[in-house]
Amino acid sequence: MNKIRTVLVVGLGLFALVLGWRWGFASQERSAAVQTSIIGELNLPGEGKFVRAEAPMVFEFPKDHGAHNDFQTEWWYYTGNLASETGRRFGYQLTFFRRAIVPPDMRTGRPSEWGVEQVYLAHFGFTDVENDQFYASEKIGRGAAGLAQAIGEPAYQVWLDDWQVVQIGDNQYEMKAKTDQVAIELELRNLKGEILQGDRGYSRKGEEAGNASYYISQTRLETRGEIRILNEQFEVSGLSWMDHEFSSSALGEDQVGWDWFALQLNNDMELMLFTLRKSDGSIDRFSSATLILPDGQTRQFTSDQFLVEVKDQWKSPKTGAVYPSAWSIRIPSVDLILDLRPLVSDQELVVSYIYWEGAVYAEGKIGEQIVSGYGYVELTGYGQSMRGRF
Amino acid sequence: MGNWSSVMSNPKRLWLPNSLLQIAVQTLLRRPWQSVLILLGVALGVAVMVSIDLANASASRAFELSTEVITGKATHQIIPSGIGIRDDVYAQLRRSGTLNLAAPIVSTYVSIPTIKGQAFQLLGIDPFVDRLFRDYWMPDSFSGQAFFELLTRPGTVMVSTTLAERSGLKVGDELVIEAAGRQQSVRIAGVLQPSDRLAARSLEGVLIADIATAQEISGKVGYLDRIDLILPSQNLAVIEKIQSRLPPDLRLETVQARQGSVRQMTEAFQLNLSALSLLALVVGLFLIYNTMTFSVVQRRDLFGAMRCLGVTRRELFFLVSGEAFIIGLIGSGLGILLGVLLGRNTVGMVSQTINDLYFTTTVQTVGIPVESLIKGGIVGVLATLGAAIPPALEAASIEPRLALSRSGLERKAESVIWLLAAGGLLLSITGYLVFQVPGNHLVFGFGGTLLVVVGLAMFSPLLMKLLLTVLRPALEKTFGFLGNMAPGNLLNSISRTAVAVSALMVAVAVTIGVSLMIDSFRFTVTQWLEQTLQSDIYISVPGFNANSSFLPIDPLVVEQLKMRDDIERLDTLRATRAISQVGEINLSATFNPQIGAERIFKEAVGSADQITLAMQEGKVIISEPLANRARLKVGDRIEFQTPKGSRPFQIAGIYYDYASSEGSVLMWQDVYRQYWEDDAITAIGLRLKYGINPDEAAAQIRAGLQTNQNLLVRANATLREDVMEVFDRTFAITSALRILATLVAVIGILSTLSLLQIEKQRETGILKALGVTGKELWRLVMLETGLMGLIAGLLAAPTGFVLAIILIEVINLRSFGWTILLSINPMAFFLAIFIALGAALTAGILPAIKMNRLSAAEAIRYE
Repeated sequence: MNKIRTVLVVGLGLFALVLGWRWGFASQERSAAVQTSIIGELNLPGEGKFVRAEAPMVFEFPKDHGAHNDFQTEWWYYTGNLASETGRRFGYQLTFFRRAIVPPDMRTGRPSEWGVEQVYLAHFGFTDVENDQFYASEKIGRGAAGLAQAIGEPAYQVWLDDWQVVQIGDNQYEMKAKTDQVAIELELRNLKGEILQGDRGYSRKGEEAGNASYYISQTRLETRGEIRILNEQFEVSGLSWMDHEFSSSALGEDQVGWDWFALQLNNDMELMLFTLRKSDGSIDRFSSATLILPDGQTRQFTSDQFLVEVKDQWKSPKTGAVYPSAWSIRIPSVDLILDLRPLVSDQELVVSYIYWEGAVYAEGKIGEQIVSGYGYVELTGYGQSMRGRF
Repeated sequence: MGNWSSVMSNPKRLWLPNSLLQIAVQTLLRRPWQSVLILLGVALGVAVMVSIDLANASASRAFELSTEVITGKATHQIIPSGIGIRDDVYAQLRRSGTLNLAAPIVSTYVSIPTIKGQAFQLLGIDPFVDRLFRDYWMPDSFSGQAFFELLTRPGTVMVSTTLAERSGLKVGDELVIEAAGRQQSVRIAGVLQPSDRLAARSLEGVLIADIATAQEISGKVGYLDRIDLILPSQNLAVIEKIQSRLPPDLRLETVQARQGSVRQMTEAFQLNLSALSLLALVVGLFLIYNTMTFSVVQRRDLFGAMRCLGVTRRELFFLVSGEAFIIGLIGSGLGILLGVLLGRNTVGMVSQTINDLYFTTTVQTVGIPVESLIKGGIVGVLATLGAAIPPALEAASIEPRLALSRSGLERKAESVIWLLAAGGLLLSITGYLVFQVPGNHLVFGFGGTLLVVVGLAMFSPLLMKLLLTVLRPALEKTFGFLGNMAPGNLLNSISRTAVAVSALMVAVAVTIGVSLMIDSFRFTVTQWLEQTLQSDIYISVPGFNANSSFLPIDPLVVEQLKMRDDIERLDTLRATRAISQVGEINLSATFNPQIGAERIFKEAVGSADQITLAMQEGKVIISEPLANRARLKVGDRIEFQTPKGSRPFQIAGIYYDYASSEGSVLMWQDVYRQYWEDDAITAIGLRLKYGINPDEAAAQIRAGLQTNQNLLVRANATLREDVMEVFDRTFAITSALRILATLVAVIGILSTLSLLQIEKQRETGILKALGVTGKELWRLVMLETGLMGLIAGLLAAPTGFVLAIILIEVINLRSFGWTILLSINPMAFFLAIFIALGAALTAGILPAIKMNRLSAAEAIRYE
């Protein structure tokens, strides 16, 4: 659910980006101040004409893995922890964002395939643990003329230029992304099916009925393939996680950011947890957690049922932002205690907006069982305030 | 020459002392008339050169600026052979990771009905990737709203500040444009704020739209015109990898190569103009040489005396050179001013021609290229100095003790006459040999032409002497003692009169040569049109290029025309640009079953029917300029990149063509469609049933067609007139140039005669004292100048003829690759002699008046 906010922030960021290209959006030198000023110029198209998530819906797969263009915002979010045969560890993040810039009722059906109604943005982050290196890059393009799109039929695929995830069989996907420095070519097998978050995939985020999103996850994707870092090539295997979420909601005003955790444990369980941080430093009551059991069953926890304690901090030399850098998570009702630390401190993405998204290691226990695992953490609102963007 | 070394060893005396400079200035001031004439000669020569150079430089600059904004930072381009790059091909290339830094472009020329005479380029870009390619975007160029509108609202464009200011447009206004013959309204989403004046100029004629909008406006939905790339130039592997992944009808080229080939096409044209412009200067040089020689001869006594007073040879040399330098400086300065004034016309004429024939520029104001002015100034001063060297040396050679009589020089001159003629023969032969240098280099062509012309001019003294000697008895019989005296006077001062005659001769010969060439060319084009344009009515989409339109005609038009009952036959043509082994060329696909009979063939496989049959079997015919340029013969193959792969087409014939110096290929339409799968049509030819008036039918069709496309429907005669109009427009500047060259020559004659008469004041006085009447004096002067004009004219006739042949057989063939049939209009010769005579007689009026005014006593006392 935290991701709804992310989606919206990203959506706005994305739109800002579209505007920001004249400042040179690829520039790593952009300061937060400039970013904010771009946002200040935002001129959104007519509000409220998009379809809103108002009640649970029946999903059909793979069709519903494709884009839902009548909703304003949508994303496909892949993260994974991989290891080579010799045990070298790597992490990756490949995210596709979609933002509708023309509401459904204003779409004219233009003769040219190039007519823009959707804009896509993608982020590709890569972590080389042994060398303490992190690579991040970004692409943007129109969701038209076959340049970027997400389709669900006959098979699911999402792409922006040559970054793509393509369904190649039942529960099987192929993923490709490359930059000048790093490349991944992976095959993903979905081991747990579709995990519908919230109420049958309908994820409330506020009091109002329409303030919600549709939220589908694939929490355990067995992954193998090849990666390339500079000129080195590795055979790798590991686990990936996918979130697919779409909505048209707007956010409240008092959140400054959020911390999101997705952990894949060696006992075949996964934990998803997020906290929404409010301006006064407190945690929003809509923060929540989900424990996915080996059989795909889920247990939900509300914000008063868990505790996240920050154990360490890291200051970014690039942006000066101070991020939490080690955590202790407790869910007393299931006797869960996990200690988390990033595999690399600097997994900060300084692209069109600044955030930290990185691979982590977790160990601890659930009940009497000693568990460990890998996962991903997303930290937003540290590099720049999210406030004033909404 | 011992004094030279002594001067060199005394650095203090290396520079012209002030007193000598004063002498130089005073000399010029004392003879205001002479000085004005010589200045005018230099000024005109420099002016013509500057104005043409300005025009050429402006045209090049306009091209650069027009392409700069459009090419941006791209290093390479992917271009299609034929219709365009399909949308899905681009998406595929991107998705496969073949293209990294790539920007798709759809561009089309549009006009704005309220702004006449300027082409605008509608540039369709993908703003998401274009930022890295083109920096016409400034932070304040537009608001977020503008960008949002451009991207999402159909029919929105960004315009330049210049256009917005000129047309009083502001954001949100509607603007009517015409693209591919269709008028449509676009909405101004924003105004581009260029970063500097140069950027402002290059943006002047550009409308920027989202690629979707550009496709919709230009009627190119589904296609891109090209893909811009930024590639590391040194990395050949990357380039090869991309090329290998492209479909067969796409080609990766460097931007440089692409612009270079466009440049090359205009280069020959511009070089021709430059060569012609230099002519005025060459004629001017004769004049400078002549005048300076005079002033040296006049001052022999003075120089002799100065030498006695210790003035060195070197100082005398510098004295004369200093005079020349001052003349060169002032003359060139005036010339530059005059050139800029003339440039107002030449720039327009040259860019018009280049737009007609080669490429469309969207930039109109390029400012004055300062290099042209500096170049003109330097060349003017150096040429003046150069022409003054012989007289300066002459001055330096004067011995202190001897104040030689003037005839000393003439005696020398007589012996030189034969030497000159021999040299002239040598030069002419060398010129002829230069033409034989293999490789068809245009520079050799012009070099040879210069050698031949100068060579023939060097015959003038000898021929003049012979002619005068021969004519003298006859003249004496007709005009009495004056008839004897006039040729005698000319012979006595042949060193100067011959130069004037040579100058006039060269100018007139050029007039004849160029006239003959243009007449022949015009005749050839008329004949070619006769053969090529056999339909009664032609229909096409109005474009900016005078030659051919690649814009497709609304398919409904053909259907509607087929329903008419006054049409006997309908031929369609598809013209496009395709990539062959010799680069991008015009490819036309025809359905005309009589094509074999409607072209004049230089070389072909057989009869007209056999040619048509060969084409139906898949062979092609190519135009002469292409054959010459690419050295292709009948039976050779020309290989095109087609969507179905690279395909060789055998050449069945080479036809004469004057539409493009780049050349074109004609293919049978079925064959074309088989490879390109493109059934668009760009021109329609209609043959009417017997007895139907083409003009009326054309008007009817124009009024009756149900299409939103604004088409050019022209009757045969109208089309011919239009073509000839472009032809005449092309040569307008050439005509202007030869007139200017003649003008310089007339000034030369005028100045020579004035000087001659001034020199002969004493003799005139004696003549008057002996009772020669004013009338007789008039006759004498007119006889003298008339003889000079006549001789110049007579000599100019054969020289002009030779020049015409050179222009046709060497220069045009090498520049443009086409054969011109020599057609001789005897009027050109008469006209030339008439001009020469007229110029000479006019030039005589002033000296004659002056001589008559002098009283005998005054004239004799003068010395």
